[in-house]
Amino acid sequence: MTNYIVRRLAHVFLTVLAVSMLVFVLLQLSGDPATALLPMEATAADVANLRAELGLNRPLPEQYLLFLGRAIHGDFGFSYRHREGAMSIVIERMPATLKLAGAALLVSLVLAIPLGMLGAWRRGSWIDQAAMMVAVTGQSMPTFWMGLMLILIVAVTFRWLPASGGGDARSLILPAVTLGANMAGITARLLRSSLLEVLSKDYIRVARAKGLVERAVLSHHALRNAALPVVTMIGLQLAYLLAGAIVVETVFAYPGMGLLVIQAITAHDFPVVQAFVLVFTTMIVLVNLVVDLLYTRLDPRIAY
Amino acid sequence: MRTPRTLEPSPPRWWFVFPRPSVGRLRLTAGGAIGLIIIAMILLAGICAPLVGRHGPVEQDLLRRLQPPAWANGTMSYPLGTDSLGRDMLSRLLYGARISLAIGVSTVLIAGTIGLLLGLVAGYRGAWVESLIMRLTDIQLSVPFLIVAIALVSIFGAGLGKMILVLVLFGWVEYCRIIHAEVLSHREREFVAAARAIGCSNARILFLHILPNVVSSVIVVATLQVGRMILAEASLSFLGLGIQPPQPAWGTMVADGRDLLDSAWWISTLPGLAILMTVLGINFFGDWLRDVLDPTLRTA
Repeated sequence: MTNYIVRRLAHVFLTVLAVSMLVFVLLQLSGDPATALLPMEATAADVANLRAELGLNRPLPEQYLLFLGRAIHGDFGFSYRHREGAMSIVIERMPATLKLAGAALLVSLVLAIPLGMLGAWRRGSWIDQAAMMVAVTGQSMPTFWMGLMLILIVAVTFRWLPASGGGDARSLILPAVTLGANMAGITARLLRSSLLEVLSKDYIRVARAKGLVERAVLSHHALRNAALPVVTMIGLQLAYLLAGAIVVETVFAYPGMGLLVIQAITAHDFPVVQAFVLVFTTMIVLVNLVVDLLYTRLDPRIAY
Repeated sequence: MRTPRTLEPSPPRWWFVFPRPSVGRLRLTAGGAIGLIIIAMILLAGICAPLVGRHGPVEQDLLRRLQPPAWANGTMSYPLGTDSLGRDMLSRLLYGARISLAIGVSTVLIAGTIGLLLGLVAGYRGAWVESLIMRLTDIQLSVPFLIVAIALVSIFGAGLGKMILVLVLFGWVEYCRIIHAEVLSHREREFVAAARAIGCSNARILFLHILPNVVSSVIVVATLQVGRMILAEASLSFLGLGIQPPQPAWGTMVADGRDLLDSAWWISTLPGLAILMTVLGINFFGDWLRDVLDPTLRTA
């Protein structure tokens, strides 16, 4: 187990390092910061001086190490737009995004578990087909469009919920439903096929033979055993859920990291984009690690 | 001297590469039929785009902006209405089908080829080549494609080529992992050992003996991936990171109508519906194909 954790942490480190290298290379390709910082009338000597001052005349590997050193301290330079440390701006938005992702996960489970169970319970019937039709539709729907349609119907036409913003819990509902519905489709289909496999096992026949009602068989004996592949998939999907949050935040003008980065791109605010890419990647890699470690809790048969 | 006939490797038959499901298994289900019909309709729409619309997809007519569709007090001159620049929605939607399909299919072809080759090599050669390629897929999988798209676009600006690059960069992993796993299971089988014993070259074993056994899973994965690529392209274009206006990409069109939702609902609604129908059709078809070709892939 310890061995496994050490290996995984090394993998986390490698991934973040690879991404930091990508960020650094992109930074290099984005042009010479010295010419961007100086006024138009600066002489060649001024540029050379500033380059020396910023360390831009040193060899690239050395520059990369310097960049890495600053990045470890969370120093990504100042945002061009906000006159504030790029890193602190990104971190500030993190709770809002995590809240949205958490709520979306909840929504997706609330939608997917009944759908998947319905499908497995009445396999091959019209109920099954209808449930799976709903699931495939959820999977095929572009999230941004679904968000706009919810705004159109729920917020603009009926005025039930606010169309945008991130103030109270009410304004979280539409973004969470949008983000969650997309994931619910995949989860429901996997839960159904996983349940169908479990339902063909002998202990299910025993449960039925001893006279348990079908509902008890399904919810007590089958669901628990069918959960593991579903949890695995949800773990893998968390990264996509977080990435999907970027799109959904843009649609609802929800003040999370995603909206921030899309605005930063439009404004050519590179330090914020860099900080975002690194923070986001680290977050995702860590989430994946936690999910993997959780499996041992869920299923004692799994040991690393 | 003649070698005994039984030891000769089978002659290369190109059609052997493609799986031939028995007629019984090819029975079309409702889902498969719906998928096929939708795909055929979208293809037809893309092909007939220049014939149907009376106005070009980027042709502006500011005097006729924001016209509603024909059934909602519009005119038959613009059956699906016009957008905020007075461009014909019908024509833009039809040309948008071309863009979506072209990007979906081309990225899947490129990513599939790269992933297939790397997966074959990783599974067959093993050793350091295998660990290098598989670690690459691990890293790739832990970074969502949207993040790399954001990093790339923020520096180089948006564009068709860059978007295809990003999509391919993230598409190949899926093939690579599936092929790798399949090759591992086939590598030690008797028919591979037999091929090696009669002196087949590695390339021959890989492409004529192993490839035909893994090709059906590739076809299934590729079909379903076309849908996901179209969704990814639409998301990028919606965020302004993909295809740029005035090109009539569906994602861009949805973004165009965002601020007009309360006054001109059709601008965002119709292209989104087009994306939904296309991806739905591909998913239905892909699911059917999977059940026919490769039921073992049935997980989700």
